[in-house]
Amino acid sequence: MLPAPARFLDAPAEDRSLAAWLETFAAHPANAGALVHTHVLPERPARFGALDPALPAPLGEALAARGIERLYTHQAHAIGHLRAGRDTVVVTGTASGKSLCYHAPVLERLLGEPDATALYLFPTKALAQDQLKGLVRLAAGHPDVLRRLHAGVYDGDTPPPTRRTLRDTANVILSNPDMLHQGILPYHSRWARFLRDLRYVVVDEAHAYRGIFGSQVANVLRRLERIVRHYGGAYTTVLCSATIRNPQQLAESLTGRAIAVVDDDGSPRGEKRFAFWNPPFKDGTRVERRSSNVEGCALFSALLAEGAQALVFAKSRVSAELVYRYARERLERERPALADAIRPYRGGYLPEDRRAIEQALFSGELRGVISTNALELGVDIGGLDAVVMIGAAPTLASMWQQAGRAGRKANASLAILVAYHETVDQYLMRHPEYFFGRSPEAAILDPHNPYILARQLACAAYELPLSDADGPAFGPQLDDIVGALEQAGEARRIDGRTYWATSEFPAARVNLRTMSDNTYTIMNAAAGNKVIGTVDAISGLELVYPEAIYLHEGGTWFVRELDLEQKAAYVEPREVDYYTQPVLDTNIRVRGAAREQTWRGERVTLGELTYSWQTVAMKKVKFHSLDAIGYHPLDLPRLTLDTTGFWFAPGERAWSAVARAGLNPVEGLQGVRNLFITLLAMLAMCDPMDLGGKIDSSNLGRPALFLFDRYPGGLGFAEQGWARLDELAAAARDHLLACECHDGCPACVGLPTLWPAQQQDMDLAHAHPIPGKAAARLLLEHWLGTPA
Amino acid sequence: MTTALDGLRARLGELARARRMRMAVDVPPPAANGHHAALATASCAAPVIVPDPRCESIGIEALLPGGELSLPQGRVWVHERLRSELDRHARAPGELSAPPGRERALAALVHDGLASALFLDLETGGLASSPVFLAGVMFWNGEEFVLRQYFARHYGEEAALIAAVSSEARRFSHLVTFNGRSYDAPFLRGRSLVHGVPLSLPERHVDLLHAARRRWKRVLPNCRLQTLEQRICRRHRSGDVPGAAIPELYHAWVRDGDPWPLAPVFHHNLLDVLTMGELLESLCAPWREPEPA
Repeated sequence: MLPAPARFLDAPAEDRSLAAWLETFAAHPANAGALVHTHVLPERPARFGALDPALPAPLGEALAARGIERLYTHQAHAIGHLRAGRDTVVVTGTASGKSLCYHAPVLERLLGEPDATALYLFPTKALAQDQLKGLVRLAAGHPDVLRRLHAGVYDGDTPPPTRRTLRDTANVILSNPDMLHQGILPYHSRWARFLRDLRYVVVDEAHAYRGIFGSQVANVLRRLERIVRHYGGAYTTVLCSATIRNPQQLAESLTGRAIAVVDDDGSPRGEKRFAFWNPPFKDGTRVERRSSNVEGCALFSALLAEGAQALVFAKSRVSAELVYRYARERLERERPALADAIRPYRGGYLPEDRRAIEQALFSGELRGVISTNALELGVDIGGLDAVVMIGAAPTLASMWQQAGRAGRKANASLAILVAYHETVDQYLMRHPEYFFGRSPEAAILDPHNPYILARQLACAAYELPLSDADGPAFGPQLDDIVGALEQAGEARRIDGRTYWATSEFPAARVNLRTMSDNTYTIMNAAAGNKVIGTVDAISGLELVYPEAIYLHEGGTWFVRELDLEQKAAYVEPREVDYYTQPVLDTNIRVRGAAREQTWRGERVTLGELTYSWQTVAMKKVKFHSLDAIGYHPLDLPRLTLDTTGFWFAPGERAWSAVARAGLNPVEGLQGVRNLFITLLAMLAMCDPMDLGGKIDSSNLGRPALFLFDRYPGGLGFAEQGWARLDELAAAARDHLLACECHDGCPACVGLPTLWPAQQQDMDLAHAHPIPGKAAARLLLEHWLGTPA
Repeated sequence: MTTALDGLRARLGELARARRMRMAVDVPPPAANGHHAALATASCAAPVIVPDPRCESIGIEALLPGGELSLPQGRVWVHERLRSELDRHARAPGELSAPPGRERALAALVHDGLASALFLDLETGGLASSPVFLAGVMFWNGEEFVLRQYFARHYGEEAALIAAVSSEARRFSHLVTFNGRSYDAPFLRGRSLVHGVPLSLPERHVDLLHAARRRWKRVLPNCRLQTLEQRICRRHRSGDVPGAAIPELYHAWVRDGDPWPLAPVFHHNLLDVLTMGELLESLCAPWREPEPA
């Protein structure tokens, strides 16, 4: 094992810098034309703020023991707000010291008020564990602080005896919204002590709470607030968010409170260089580009050889494994000493393996890690010298998050985006201004969605009867929905209070997230069925189907058997020179029409439909060459989503309006579908990922547009679209016309396919053209006319 | 139930479709000089008429004769009877003999006398934050066992039920339950915290389940209350309701006001309390072979 080496930029070699290295690398004749764009974010010095009064002496000393002598401006602002009891959202860059903005006021409170408590919420269990370590490390800087702190993680993994101890004695609980929803609020009387003295609620990574998940969490937070109020407690909320367009609006929708924004980032930043790298064409025919995985791997290995510590972000689990494998082979050839200093990292590894990788990365023992977006959220791995993103993340906000992993304190850093030969990536290579010129996406949620509200009010009524006092928190629909619950025999109103009136446990039937929490266990059949990893039930059928090659830590494992009942995959190590890729088939079936209308000459139906998908076959692909060496049909169950949607098949007149102009109406309809999804997400206040759409001819006999909710049973998004089709279409048309692009771009007409399969290696993708802007425009104008 | 839930879906659908649409955020200007659509807002939700829920229930008196107890926390229904009215042949224990073995809690009770003990058994509407709706208590008045059942006729009477049990409990120094250490006592404590009703249970607690396990676990297949009732107390129940069905029977009563399905629940609770009294006696009696199954 290597001794922890000095990081590259701690002791830069003479006249070498990452910028110079990149220039040299790009100047190599084999890389001609690959570096299509560089963008420099200038260095920014630290700015400090002061607190009046200063933090209590023991806490100040504890901070100093961690090397924190002064607070950055944003930290001072945030602490000032919180001391004054103002609910606050902190929106600053990765590694800007956001956690201190809540740790410090919480610890200060514990020192001053012995009974005070605080609740920390994180979107993942891993983050709660990570932040517990951070909090304890900070408190350990002074014995008086440490003595006051009784903190613990309370989540689904906490053993029952520990749970009881934490309930009875802890003053800082780290948990997640799911646990709060199902494991804390319904049992609130056991938490009476903790809730009565609750002073701070911390909502970290608040940008993760958008769409359906965010709308659910917003209601869970309202439930928390009414229970705390019932016990006579009162708390201040502090939220932290990555950079998004609407942090204040997000924080206010989530909490239902007025929120102060702290976004004046005082942390120092070294010069950050952003490079866009397009793998060159293979030959003069300019059809195929070099493999992006190999290209990214070459950049990564060269960076490590240069002494930098680097992180690769890959777009799928398979890609992360492939890049690791390629990088390891390359380093073994070129820099054998570094071959053991890299690791892959992704969801599905065992938690202890993940913790070990995080720590080794933090300590510098690991020189490089190839990760999926699992490292995008705030697990503290320290800053790195360089980040290589192979393929653009699905949102600008995610891309900035990933790039933000590069850069430590005032040192210069480098982030490289390596494009796949794929629609969005190639668009970005041609139009870098799309990335640098736009503000990142907004995070939208809707706490008042009636379907979500009905489920959440059931949970709330179970916890404590609802009354008029709950109107302000849950909104004007409270009465209507409570009335509907009562008619359905689930609630009973007595003397102005509405009680839960069945023996059911309502929280059990509400999953906050759209993903199922079922997982498959992956076991090594050659070694006594030792568990080597897990995969969620939906991805399982795309990753560990029988005879698949499952890649784990770069190794090839043959899947002997997939037991669907036991949710177990039995694998064994097998040396092969190929990997496998699932071939997916998606399907849409109309189950029944609920309502119909004639809209602008088209028959538009609202009803129930089933969207389904299935791994129907697998492809064997040879490592490196990417040659397809086999194709095998598979017999696996079809996964289905029964939901609500609307659909219509444009009539002859609409069709010929496009065809007459020599354009392809199907492309136009694809563009309309994508525009509808973007705009309906805005109108119905959900995330675009909460919606699905498909162009399908099999149901109506000619190409029809289907738009549906990606949630079992539906949540009313498509219903709203159907009821307000005119507004939706007009918004789509205006959005399209206002877009400055020429032939269409990802922001307007979008992509030919809505979302690629999760487990695909994008190296095998093709750059389909973006659907025609003109065709989509002709369709919309056929229906609505040309705007004045 | 399915139809009722379909009705709920339909109603929520109406609410969803009738919602005012507005832009959640400004649509990002796709271009520097771009302008975005301003969306007109549409009509509001139509008013809903919810039929008056069924009001006062009738008929509970016939099943559970008694009266209404008025407390600062509200009202609660009380039913009282003597054990002799239920079981004329029951032998009154009067004096308990010292229990064999090292049963310290039991010995303390025997030392203080049977009249210092309050027997308690709860029926609830479910787990976690569900209400307690029936509290059966029993005590020795020097001559007879007195049984009382406090019944919350609806959820709003739970606070008074807890207050009534609490004021009853204040007169005793021992609480006797079956599995009450992990269930009845914490449940009642939790509900009293929720209602802000002070609860003072007797300081000492004899949980008969634990004593019964120590005494009979090697000779009985299990130590469930009904097993003990058959094998130790030599009594067989008829017309009983399974414990798991009880919560829903109560909710159904609150929803539709038909008291008859509750009759076996009152009976079940009464028998549980009676059995506790007999178990206490058996535990204090010298060892004897349990009745074969």
